[in-house]
Amino acid sequence: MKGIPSSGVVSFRLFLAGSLAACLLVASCVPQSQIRKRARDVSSLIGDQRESIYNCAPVELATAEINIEIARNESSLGRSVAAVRHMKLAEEAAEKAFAQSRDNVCLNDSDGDKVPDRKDRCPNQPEDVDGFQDADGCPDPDNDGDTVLDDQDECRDVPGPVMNKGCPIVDTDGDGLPDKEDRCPQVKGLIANFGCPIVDTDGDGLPDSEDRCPYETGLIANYGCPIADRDQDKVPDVEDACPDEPGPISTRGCPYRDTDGDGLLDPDDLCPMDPGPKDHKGCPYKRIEITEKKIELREKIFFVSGKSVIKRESWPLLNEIAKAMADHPAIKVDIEGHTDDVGNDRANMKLSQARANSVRAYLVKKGVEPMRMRAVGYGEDRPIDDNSTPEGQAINRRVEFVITAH
Amino acid sequence: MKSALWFLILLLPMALACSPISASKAISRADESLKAAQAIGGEAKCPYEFKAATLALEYAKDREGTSDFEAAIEFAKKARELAEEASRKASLIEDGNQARLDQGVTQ
Repeated sequence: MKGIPSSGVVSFRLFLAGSLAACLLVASCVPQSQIRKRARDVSSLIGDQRESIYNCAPVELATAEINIEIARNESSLGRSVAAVRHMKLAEEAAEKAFAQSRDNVCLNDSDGDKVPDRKDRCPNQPEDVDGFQDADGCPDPDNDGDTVLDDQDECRDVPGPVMNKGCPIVDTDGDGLPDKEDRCPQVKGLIANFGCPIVDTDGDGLPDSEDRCPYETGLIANYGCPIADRDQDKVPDVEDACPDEPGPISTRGCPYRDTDGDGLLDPDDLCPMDPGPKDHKGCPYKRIEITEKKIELREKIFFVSGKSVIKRESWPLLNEIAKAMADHPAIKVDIEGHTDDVGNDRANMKLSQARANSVRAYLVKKGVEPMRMRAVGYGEDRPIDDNSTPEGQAINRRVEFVITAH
Repeated sequence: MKSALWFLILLLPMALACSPISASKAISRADESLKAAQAIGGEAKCPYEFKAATLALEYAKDREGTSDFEAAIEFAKKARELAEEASRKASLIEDGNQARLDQGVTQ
């Protein structure tokens, strides 16, 4: 009875066995994941450097790699202690191998550019590590091939002309002026205006930059400013003799006047210096007009054909001349007689003198002092029109009053 | 009875594949390959392959000793391959054919 275990003791032993099995299970499972992780770590440590490690630390590399495989095998069989031991050996060997393989000789890299000769297209020329085709082991002194060497090229990877230090010439607004020189790089403009558009706000033809009055339409001659014209008569104040009174250019901007005070403005007054009624167009006489040099006749003096007898119809005209002579006592006149070329010269000369005399006599009779008049006959010598036509002949037959003294 | 016999006959190749005999044979071949590599100077000329082969063979033997024939065979085969690779490269180096060697230095 004593040698037979009781049921309680059996239960206790079963408990111990179960616990031990659980511990073994845990002990075998946890290292398996750890082993996998550590194996990955060692592999990544070797990683890209495997070639150089192979060259300089082959024994250590072999030790590391075979021990990793052994550790994995041990781990898969649940022998965690052995797996950890082999893993440790692998790690130590890998670290040793890595430490021994850091120089260029191990990498078999003649030019020391970290590209192994086996992969180096230029094994004797070191790669210029600048992010441009660095894997081929060849230096690229001019990445963008624009003939500007990289060390002088401000845009190494974008081709550009030498004059622009290897950078492309950018002309954003396409106006032909590079942005660097363009004062308005975003707006198309003229090269002559530094790439800026010519702005003429007031549209007077003068750019704002030269316009002293950019917001007021003006004349170019006046620097783009409007010309002052207070009376708005289109005559600028500087030229306007009457800047505050509107007037035409002909009077230098002054209003028309009535110089002779006859109620007719000078432009409407045929005799602006002599007052006259409106129905005489401002002239004091109806049939004549006194000018600087002559007493102009608005009518002809008619004579009996071939004679010096004045026709009655011309008496009012001569009366008016007499009045004018009385109105202007200082005036002296030559009374000139003229004929056409019909008939002989001497006869014409005689006739013209006779007619001039006849007129002078009439005026004397009307009160004009004889001393103020001289009668002269010119015959056909001074025609003023064509004697070959009847109209011309009629015009040439005339009497003129030429003022000789005022 | 007859069917049981047939079953055993079919099972025999599978049993032989992981048997002590197969493991011993694989280890023996690997051993021979390693000795051949050593003879040709593989240890000095191809230290990686030689060392790896040596370690793999050691482990194969260790596994055989614990009756883990499957692992023994696997590592023995690996040891043999590595030893043969060491011999091949060593002979290439011997012939001065570095260029061909450079093309396949690593595994």
